[in-house]
Amino acid sequence: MMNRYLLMLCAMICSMILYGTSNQELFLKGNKAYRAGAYQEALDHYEQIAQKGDAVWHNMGNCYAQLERPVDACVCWQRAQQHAVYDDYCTLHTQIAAVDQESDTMNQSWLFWVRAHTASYSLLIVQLITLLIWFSLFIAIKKRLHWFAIVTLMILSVFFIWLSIDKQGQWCRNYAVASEEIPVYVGPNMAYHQQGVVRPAHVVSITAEREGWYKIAYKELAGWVQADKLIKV
Amino acid sequence: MEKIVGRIVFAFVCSVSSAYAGISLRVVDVQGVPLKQAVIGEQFNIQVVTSGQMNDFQLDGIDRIKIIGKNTISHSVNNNVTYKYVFLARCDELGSYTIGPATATINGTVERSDVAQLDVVAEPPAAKNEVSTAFLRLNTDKKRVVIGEEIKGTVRFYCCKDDLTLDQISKSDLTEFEVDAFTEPQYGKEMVNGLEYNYIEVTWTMAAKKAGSITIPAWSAHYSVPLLDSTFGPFRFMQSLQRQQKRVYSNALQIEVVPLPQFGGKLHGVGTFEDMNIHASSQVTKEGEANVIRIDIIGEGTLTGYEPVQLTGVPEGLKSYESKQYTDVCQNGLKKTSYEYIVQGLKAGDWEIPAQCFTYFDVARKEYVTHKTMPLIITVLSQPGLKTVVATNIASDTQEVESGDTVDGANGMRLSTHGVWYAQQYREIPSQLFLIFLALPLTVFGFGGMRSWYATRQERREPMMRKKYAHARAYKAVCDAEKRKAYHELYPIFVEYFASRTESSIPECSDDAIIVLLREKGLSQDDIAAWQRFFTDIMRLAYAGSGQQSKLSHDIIRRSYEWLERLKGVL
Repeated sequence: MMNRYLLMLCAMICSMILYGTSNQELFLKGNKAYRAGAYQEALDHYEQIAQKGDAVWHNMGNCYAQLERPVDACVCWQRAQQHAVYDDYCTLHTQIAAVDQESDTMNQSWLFWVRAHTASYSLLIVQLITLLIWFSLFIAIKKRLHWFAIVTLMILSVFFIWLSIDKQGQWCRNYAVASEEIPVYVGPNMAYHQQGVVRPAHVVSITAEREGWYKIAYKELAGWVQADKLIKV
Repeated sequence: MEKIVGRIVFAFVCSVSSAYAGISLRVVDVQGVPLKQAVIGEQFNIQVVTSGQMNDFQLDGIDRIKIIGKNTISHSVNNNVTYKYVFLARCDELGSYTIGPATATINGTVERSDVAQLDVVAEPPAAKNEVSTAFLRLNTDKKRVVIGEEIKGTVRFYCCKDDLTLDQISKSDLTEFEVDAFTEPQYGKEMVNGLEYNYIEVTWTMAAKKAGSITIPAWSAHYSVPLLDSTFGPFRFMQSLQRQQKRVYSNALQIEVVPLPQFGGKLHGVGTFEDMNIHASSQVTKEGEANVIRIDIIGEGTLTGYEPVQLTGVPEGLKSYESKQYTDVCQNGLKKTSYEYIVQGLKAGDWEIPAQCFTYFDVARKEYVTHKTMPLIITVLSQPGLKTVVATNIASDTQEVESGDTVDGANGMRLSTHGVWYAQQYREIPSQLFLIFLALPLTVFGFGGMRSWYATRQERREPMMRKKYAHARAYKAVCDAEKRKAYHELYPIFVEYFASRTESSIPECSDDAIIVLLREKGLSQDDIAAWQRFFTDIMRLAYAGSGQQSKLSHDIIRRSYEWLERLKGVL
C-alpha cells in the first residue's frame, strides 16, 4: 500500500518536472526565434506555453508589436505588467504608452515609482504587512510607547492601507483593450446617443456588464460599448 | 512736387509773419488737418510757430500727453528768424485735453500763445456713423490677463464699396507686448448696422511683457477711393485713374495686465498646457551612435521669455545636444511645441533619463501646474555585445534567464528575462475579510473606551442620582414597610435618606450629625426635640423585639410620613 502511494508521488513529481521543462524549453526557443527575427515562430512557441507567466506575456507582446498588431501587443503587455518586476514594468509602461499615445494614467511619478516597485509582490504579502503594522500601532498605543514610534507606525499604516487598496483596485479592475475604433453610447444599445469613441489599442476599464455590452470608463468618458469589440486583459 | 509747394508756402508764411513778432500754437493730425477730436493712441502733431529772436521756450499742458518725437525747423528771412516746433504726440487716456499755452521770450518780451482743445475718445467718429464707407476695428479676445498670457488680437477693416482699395494697415505701438507672427489677411462679409460690409482681417498673438494698464493705440488704415467730380466731362471714364487717399483710425484698447503670483521655482511658461510627453526615436542605441529624444508640450501658451525647456538629469552614459524646436498641431487641434535633443550613447548599459518637469502658470486655473514625463530608459549596446546577443543559442538562453540582461538588437524591444515565464499563484485576503481585520483593533479599542467612559459616567452620576431620588425612594420604602409591617426597617430608611441627601456615607450619618444638620437647616429647638424622640423610637423598633413593635407601630408610620414631608421642605 505504502509503495503504491510512493509510486504515484514519484509519477506526479516526474510529470511536473517534464511539463515544466518542456514549457521552459518553449520559452527559450521563443526567445531564440525572436532574436533571430522570426517573430511568428517565436509567437507560436510562446502560445504553446499553457500557464503563461509575465515574461511570456511580455515577449508575446513584443512579437505582436513586431508583427504590427498593436492591439494584441497592448493586451499582452497589459497582462505582463500586472506582476512584472521593476525593470520590466518600466519598459512595458513605455511600450504601452508608445502604442497608446494619449496614455496619461500615471502622471504622478511617485505613484508610478510605488506601483513599479510593488507590482511583483502579491496582494497577500502587502495585506499581511499592512495588518502587522496596523496591529502594532494599536499595541504601541496601548503600551504607551514613545510618540515617535506611534507616529512612524501611523504613517506606515496609512501608506500600507493605501497600497493595499490601490493594489486591490489594480487587481480587481477589469481592464480591456479596444480592438478597433469603438463608438461609446450613453446606454447599452445602438439607439442611444453616441458620446465619443475609444481609439484602437487604448485601454479601458470595465465597470459593468449587460447582454453583450460593457460599461466602460475611458479617460473622462463613461458609457457603453459592444463587448465583442473589446479584448479583456 | 508737393514738397516744393510746401516749402514755398512755408517761406511765404515766414516772410509774412516776419513783419511782426509772436507765437502761435495749433494741433493738427499727421496729414496737417486741424484736429479737435482724436482716438486714444492716435498720433497727432502739436505745431508751435514763433517769429523773432526767441529764448526760454516752454509748452504747457502736455503732462498727460505722450510725446513720441520732436522736430524743430528754423528759417531766417530778412534777419527775422522763424522757429517751428513740431511735437509728434499721442494720448493714452480718455478725456478733454487743453494743450498750451506755449510761452517764449521773443525780442525781450514774454509772448504767450493761445491754447488748443483736444477731445480724446475711445471710438473714432467714423465707426459710430451708420453709413460709414470704411472703418477699422481693433479687438482682443481678453481684456484682463497675467504677464505672458497669450492674447489674440484682431484688426478688421470694413468697407461697403467695391471701388474702395485698401492700401495699407499700419500697426500701432505694440512695444509693451511680445508679438508673435501676424497671419495672412482673411477676407469675409459681415452685417454691421443692417449694412453688409466686406472685411479684411489680420490677426496676431501677443503677450504682455509687464504688469499694469497697457493701452493698445489706435491702428490706422490707408485706403483710396475714386475722385468723383464732373470736371472730366465726356472723359469721365478717366476718373478711375484719379484716386483720393484717405485714412481711418480704429478704436484703442486698454488691457489690464496683472503680475504672476509669487513662485520660487523655475517657470517655463504661461498658458493652458494639457500634457507633456517624452519620446525616443529608439530606446536601444549603440555606443557612439545618436538617438533623437523629443519632448512635446501640448497646449496653448507662451514659452518665450521664461526658463527654456531642457533635457535635465542626463546620466553619465549619455550625452545630449540641443537640436531644434518646432510647433505643430495635434490630431485634436491642440498646439504642440516640440523640443528635440540628440542623445549620444557613450557607455554600454541601461541609462535612465529621469522624469522631466514642465512648470507653468495655468491661466484657466490661476495656479502653477507642473507636468511630468515618465522616466525614459535608453539601452546603449557595445558593438561586440550586440553580435553576441544575436548569436545566442538555447544553452546561453538559460544563462540569460539567470542574468536577466537580454536585448534584441534587431528591433530595439527588450525581451523579458527578469520575470517568471510560468504562471504563479497569487493569493489575497478577500477584501471584506481584510476590512474586518482592519476594523478589529478599532472595535476592541472602541468598545473598551466606551465601557470605561460609561463606568466613569455612572460613578460620577450615582451620588447625584441618589440625592435626587432620595425622597421618593424613602417614601416608597416606608409604604413598603407599612404593608409588610416591617417597622424595624424605618431606622435604616431614614439613615439612608439622610446619607443620600447629604451625599455622605451611611456610617457618617450618626444621631449627632443629623441633629447638627437639622439645626443648620433652621429647625427650632422643639422640632429637634421632636425629631430626637422620633429617631429614638425608630431606633428602638429596629433593635427591639416584636412586642415593643406592636405598641409603637400605630402612630410611627404616621410620624414617619410627617417627618418625610417635613424633611422634604428642609433638606
